[in-house]
Amino acid sequence: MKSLFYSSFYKKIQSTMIIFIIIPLIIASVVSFILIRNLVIEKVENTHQNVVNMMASDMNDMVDEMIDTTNLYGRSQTDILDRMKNFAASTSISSYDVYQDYREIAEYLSITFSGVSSVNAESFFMNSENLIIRGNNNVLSHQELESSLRTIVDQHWMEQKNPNRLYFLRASELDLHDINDHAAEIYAVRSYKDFVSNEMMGILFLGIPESYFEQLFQDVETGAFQLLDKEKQTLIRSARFDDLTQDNDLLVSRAALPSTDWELVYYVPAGDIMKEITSTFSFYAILIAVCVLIFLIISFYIGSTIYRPLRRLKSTVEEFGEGNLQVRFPVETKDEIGLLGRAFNHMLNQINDLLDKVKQEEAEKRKLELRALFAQIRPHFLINTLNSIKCSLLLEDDEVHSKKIESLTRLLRANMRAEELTTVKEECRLLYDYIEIMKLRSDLQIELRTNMDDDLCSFKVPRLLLQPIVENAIIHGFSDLPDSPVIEVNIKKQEEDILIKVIDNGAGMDESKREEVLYTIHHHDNLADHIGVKNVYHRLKLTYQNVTIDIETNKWGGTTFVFIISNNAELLTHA
Amino acid sequence: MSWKKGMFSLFLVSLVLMLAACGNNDASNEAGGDDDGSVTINYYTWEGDEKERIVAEIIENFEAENPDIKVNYETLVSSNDSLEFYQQLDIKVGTGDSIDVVAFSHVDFLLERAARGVLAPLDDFMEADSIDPTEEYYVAPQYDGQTFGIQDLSQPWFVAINKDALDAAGLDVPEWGWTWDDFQEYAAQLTTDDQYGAYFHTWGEFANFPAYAELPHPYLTDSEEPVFDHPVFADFFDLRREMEEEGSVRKFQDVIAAETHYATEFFNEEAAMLPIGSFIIDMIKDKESYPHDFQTVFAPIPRSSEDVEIGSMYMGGHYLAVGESSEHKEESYKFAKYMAEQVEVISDFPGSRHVDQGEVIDTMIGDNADLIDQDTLAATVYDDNIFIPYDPAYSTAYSNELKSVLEDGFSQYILDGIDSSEAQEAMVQQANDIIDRNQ
Repeated sequence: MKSLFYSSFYKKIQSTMIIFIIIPLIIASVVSFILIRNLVIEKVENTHQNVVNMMASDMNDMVDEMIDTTNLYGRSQTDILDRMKNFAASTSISSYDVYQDYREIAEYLSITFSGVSSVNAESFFMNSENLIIRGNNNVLSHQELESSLRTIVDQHWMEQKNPNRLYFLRASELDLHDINDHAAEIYAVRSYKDFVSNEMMGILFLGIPESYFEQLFQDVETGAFQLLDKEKQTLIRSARFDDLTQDNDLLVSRAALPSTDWELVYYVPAGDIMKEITSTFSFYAILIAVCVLIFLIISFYIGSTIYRPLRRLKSTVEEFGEGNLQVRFPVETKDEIGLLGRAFNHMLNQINDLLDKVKQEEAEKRKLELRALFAQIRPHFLINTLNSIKCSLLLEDDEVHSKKIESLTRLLRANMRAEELTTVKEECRLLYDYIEIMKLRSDLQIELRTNMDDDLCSFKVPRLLLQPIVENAIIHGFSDLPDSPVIEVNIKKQEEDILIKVIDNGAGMDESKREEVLYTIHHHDNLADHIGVKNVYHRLKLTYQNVTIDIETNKWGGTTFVFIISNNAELLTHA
Repeated sequence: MSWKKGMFSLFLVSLVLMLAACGNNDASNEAGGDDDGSVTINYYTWEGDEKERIVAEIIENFEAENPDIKVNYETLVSSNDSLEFYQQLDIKVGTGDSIDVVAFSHVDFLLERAARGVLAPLDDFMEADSIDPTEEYYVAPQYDGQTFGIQDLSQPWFVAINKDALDAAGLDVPEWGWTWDDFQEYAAQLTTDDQYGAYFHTWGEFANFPAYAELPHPYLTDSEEPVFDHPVFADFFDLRREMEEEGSVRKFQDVIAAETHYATEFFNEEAAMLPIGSFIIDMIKDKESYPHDFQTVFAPIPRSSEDVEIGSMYMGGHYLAVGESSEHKEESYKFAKYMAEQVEVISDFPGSRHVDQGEVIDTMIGDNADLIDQDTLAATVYDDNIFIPYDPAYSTAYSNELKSVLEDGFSQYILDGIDSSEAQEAMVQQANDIIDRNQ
């Protein structure tokens, strides 16, 4: 059960369905089986009682009718009584009259007893001299009857029988059993007496054939019947009686036959009834099982068709995860799964694009790195070369050019380490080198003055910070070649701020130019003008956050660039 | 979740279909029968057991030759008793059921019902087949100039004799031309301490064989008067009494008191000679019901005197008639005619004269040559001189009742010891009463 909740969505749906269908079905079936079984057993018992009552009453009617018919023979003033009287003492058919009596009695037997219900009784009469007259329905032949009865029936035997009542005897009591399978099992026996002369006239035998009982019992398909006499001894057993004995669990119904003191007992193995109910139920159980099975198969089929896209989506994800970037979910439907698949495909495309971009960037970066490495090689080469030139100039005592080369070398080296910070003092020294070189280029005898507070000597600034400003002053400020160009660099502490001023005595800058330059510095656009100043400002701003720039016109009419680095108490202590 | 709804309705539909399929099975297969154009004719008889088996075989052959006719063999009684059968038949007629083919054990029973209009005349069918019934069959059941049946089996009567007893007495097998006096002589010689020479049953035939074998009608004259005053009755009655007195036959009173049976009497070797119909041959062959190991030889029924022409024969018969109510008279006639011409599957001698007699005898005996003597049987049954004096034209609707007159007359004669003339007088008187009643 626990694993069910961890199993797949598909399995969960299917198992829930199975549980919700099968369990209620089983519970309902079992409950109704038990209820119906009890009901049926009760009904069946009632039915059995009715059956056995009906049969007993049938048999009782038959017996009554038989008694009634035997009464016809004894009645006074009847022709048959006269015939019986005449025939009573005949030892043989010695005359035609006796023959006629004989034939009349035989015919009367045939007629009267063919009418008794559906019994079709065997009938024969024996006179007091043991002469037998048969009706026309006897299974046993005259000889068979004679040889059996001769040993049992005699005058004395006849006289023991009350002439006013009917006796029922087993075939074995008359030694008439085992002669013929179709012969009667029970004989109704009645003796007749001539009450006038008080002489025994004879005895009437009526055999109730087994076929009568068989016919009576055959309509009942289950169970077996047993007919018991007064002493509870078996008179008749139905065909299936012998099959019963192994079965201990019997439903027993009884009914009495008042006319004979017999009792009819009906046995039905409880198993038979249960078998019927069980077979009916198992039929329905099979039917339901088949239906449920078909239902489940269809459900599994449909479930799997629904689940298939999900599974494919899952496998697509897995495959993508394993590195197959080209795999895509095949969208076949327009339902939710299709929508999900389409969105998913879109996402994969985007991931691919992103990956491509990253790859490209990576490649470019590598190219740049290579180029940078390559670029590092060249300055060293230059510096070494310049050093060699300087040495050879020194050897030739060309101190001027040797100095110039040395300045160039220093500038170049500083340039190589442009990204590093340097001290203000060092920066100023670089400016001298720069001026030295510019002097060479322009033939201007530029005077550089640097003033700084002592405690600011080690104040860190970006390397080559002031060089572009100086360059600006030389290119723009001294373009008209003044007589004594001066550039002054002042680095001072003003309260909490550090002031860096680059002052020139050049041509100066009108207000509109100044505005334009300041605007360009503060605004990001791609104009190539004033890149040097802008660069300086931004590099300073990257190092120290609160930096302001200003351009002033000084007392010489030249231009003064002012950088104010404010709120740098912390930095100052470092300096 | 609409698919689940779909599934549920699918489930319901399949359930309903299954239940419907289960319920369907019972309805069909009820009708059956004559749908295929064939007709079914009923064959009513009293004969069961062995006879039924033989007829079933013939019916099978007939149905194979006539695929459009089915024959339904039905015994109306379980007792094999023909008299009870006629009662049942009359009940069936009374209910208005259609009756196709009916078996009769004697021509008189047939004619009695022909006179009542129960049976259909077959002349038209026979004419179409160019059959002359009196020439084709030993006995043609004719009434009022019309033929109402076909003799499908002939039952020639003869004397069955225990060959062992005959050999023990050193006697030859009697031949055509012997007389009842010779019979009496034979019986006396065949009588031993534990075997009677002959057995006479209670039936009318045994009261006067010559009346059956030599007169045109055993009870009536051509002027429809009783023939019981004929001297041959007195002679035969006296012969019976003489033989009882000689002790060569079981006494009549013992026969009726013990209800002895001719077959058990003969096969149990209680009697050496038995005048009987050819139906005894089936019993000879039925070793299970009648166990015996002697061979039976056959002799013709003796003649009453040397003056009687040799070859005069009493022949019982088995007849088939077609019910007036039948819806398939032609098919029924066809079947009856077929039954009369059997030689390979037979229960008795065929009713038609024009069959292969040698084959009939061979078929009849089968593999029972140790029990049945072929030569004497053939000589007795198929002799060129044989003729049947019995004339059904003498027969009347009530003639069957006259048989009991003969039986009663003989009973009275033999039991009460009266004169034959006295008995004859009583019989004539009784017969006239019956005739008057039926006029």
